[in-house]
Amino acid sequence: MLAVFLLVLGIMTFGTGFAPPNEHIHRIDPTKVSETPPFDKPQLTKIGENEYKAAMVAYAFGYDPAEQMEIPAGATVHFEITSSDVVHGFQIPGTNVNVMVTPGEISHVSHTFEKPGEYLILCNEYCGIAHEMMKTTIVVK
Amino acid sequence: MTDSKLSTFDRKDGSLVIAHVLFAFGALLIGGIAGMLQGMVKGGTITLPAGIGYYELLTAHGVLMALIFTTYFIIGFLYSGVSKTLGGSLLPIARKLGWWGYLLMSAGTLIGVVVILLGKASVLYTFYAPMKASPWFYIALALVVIGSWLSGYGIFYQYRKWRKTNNGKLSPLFAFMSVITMLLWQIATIGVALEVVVQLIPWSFGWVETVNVVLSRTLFWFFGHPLVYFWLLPAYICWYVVIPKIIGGKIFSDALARLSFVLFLLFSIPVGFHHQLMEPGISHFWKYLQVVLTFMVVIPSLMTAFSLFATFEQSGRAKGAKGLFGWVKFLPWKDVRFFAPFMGMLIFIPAGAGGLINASNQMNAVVHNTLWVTGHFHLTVATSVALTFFGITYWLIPAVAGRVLTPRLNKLGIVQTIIWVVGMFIMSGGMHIVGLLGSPRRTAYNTYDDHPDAILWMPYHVAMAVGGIILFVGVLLLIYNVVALLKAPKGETEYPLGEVSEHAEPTPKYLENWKLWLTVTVVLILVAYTIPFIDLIGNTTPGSPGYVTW
Amino acid sequence: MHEDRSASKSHGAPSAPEAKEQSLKGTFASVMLLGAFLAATWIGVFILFVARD
Repeated sequence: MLAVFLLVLGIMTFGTGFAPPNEHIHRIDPTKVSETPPFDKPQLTKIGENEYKAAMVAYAFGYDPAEQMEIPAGATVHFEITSSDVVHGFQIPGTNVNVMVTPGEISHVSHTFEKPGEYLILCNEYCGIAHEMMKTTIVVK
Repeated sequence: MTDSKLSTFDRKDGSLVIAHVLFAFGALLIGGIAGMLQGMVKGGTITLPAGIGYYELLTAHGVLMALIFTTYFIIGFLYSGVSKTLGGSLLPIARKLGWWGYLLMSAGTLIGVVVILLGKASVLYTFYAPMKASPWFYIALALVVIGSWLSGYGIFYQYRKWRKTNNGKLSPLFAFMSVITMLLWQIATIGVALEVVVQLIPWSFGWVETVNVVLSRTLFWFFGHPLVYFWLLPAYICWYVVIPKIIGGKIFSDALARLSFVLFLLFSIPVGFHHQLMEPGISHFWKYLQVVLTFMVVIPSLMTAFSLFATFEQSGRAKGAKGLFGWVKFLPWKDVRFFAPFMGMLIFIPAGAGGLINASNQMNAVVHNTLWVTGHFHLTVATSVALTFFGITYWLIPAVAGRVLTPRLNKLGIVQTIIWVVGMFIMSGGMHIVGLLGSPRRTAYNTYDDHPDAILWMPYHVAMAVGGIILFVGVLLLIYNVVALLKAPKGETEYPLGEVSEHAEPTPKYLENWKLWLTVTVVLILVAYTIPFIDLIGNTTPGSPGYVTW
Repeated sequence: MHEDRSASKSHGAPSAPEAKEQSLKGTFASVMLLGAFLAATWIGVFILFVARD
């Protein structure tokens, strides 16, 4: 059993690189999402050589920005997401991007997209009648 | 105290037990219909008729299976053992509490099911805010919980009277374990009671505008994790106390068994954050601390596995078994009272392995909210616990109703167990794999606009539907068997209770020192939760209004 | 009384005359297999986790 423990402890020590998401607690008024930057204008912004920021809003039943997000292969995206209504999920299958999006809180997760393709971003937390249709995509060129 | 092996089970107590068991199986049947339909919808084989939503069915399935079937069977089973081992019959006050608990829970269940089927509470059995159901849904849940408290008080009362009249002697193992189980439940339900009564009911009625979402989730999972141990511990009671008798062996160690239950009491509760690992609003430090505590609660399960192997081996060798695994052949494979719980034990191995993975901090990102999680709990509660409960039924109904298990019913029980295992292997196996591929849980039929990832998932969803149908056949056979047991030939059936092996160490009295263990339990909870709760309650950011998104 | 308070014997170590009944070799082997299964599944998902980052 101790061996099992040590394994996990080992993970946590390099946990600064591989920690669970949402390191930093960041709150927001859930009724004022559309007025609070950066969520007043959800969009993808380039902030560095191969680095981007994506401010997104989850709602029943989709994600803003509605416009297709595109990035070059090898780019790192820092997602910053909140919900304007109920709890949603934000998951990119095939990657470790998998966070909850809770009203009143802002979720932070980052990922480097090495391979080109169209990545599915879906909601994996039941949020209502059209939950199974809630998705968007991000294109990596 | 020794009860004559064939002494008749108290008739009045028998009625209480049967009432609980039958309600449980009724819930299983309706929940099973819902489950099968869900599987078929996801597999693309049917669309639901107008007026029935997938998420309505899913809410009913979760509530009936995870809350009603389990709680009723558990309380019925525990009352049977408490009656049998603590004096041979329930004291009038205990029996009254048992019935009042039953009444309240049943009222709550009926109200809840009606509200769900009216489409006013499609919030799933976790009812996460700020999705806002009809206040009657929350009231129904509160009634179920309060009813279960009354049931627990009946058991505590009987136990305390026994201890007084037996001069503080070490209690019978079954009774000790029952008290631990209901204590665990009593403490755990404080979380969900606070959430429902203080936060959700006023908000749902409109007396309060907003709700603190992360706080509500944290209160729920304060309850939600020990809930699974509330399910597991009664199955362990069967494995520790009943199975040794059925295999013609002895309990390997009374002390080890009690110790494992004490450890469950200590470590099942301060671990709720491992269900919230991917959430914002809770710091890394507290998540990790609760992960460490979660790994501690793995230990009593490992102890149980050891105890069971040892019980089987000792019993086999006493009958002449040789070699490393010769004792396996000496187990009563053709006896459903052993076979069904044994399959539950065996399947607990992959079930527990999955749980270990789920709890592993950042590794949770691989599986969070995917069908892997659904696969996991269909192994733990829907197989290990459920098959054990089914196995118990084959002697429990005869023992308390003055009937006998016929060879024919025994055989049907074996068949039912095999059907269950096959169906679950296909369904849960499919869920585990497709979950790793990213398919989300709690989601109706979808292809995400024919995205290649989603197309890849379809064959597994079809397998899940097939497994679900097989399982439903298993449910039908089980219901048939239960009805047949009630109409089986009259006779005396022994209530199987194991005796402790002569080689076992004597049990230290401190294992039954409630003040000590309850204090440690409370201390651990305070350590794990105080600061996070202060942080959540002190949050000055406005809460969230309610939404009806279905 | 269900419990016998006979002289205690340590569970794991087989001692000479009682060795036949007390051997827990099969238990030891089973526990090792169980541990191996837990380790294997955990490591499997761990590898998946690291590969996806």
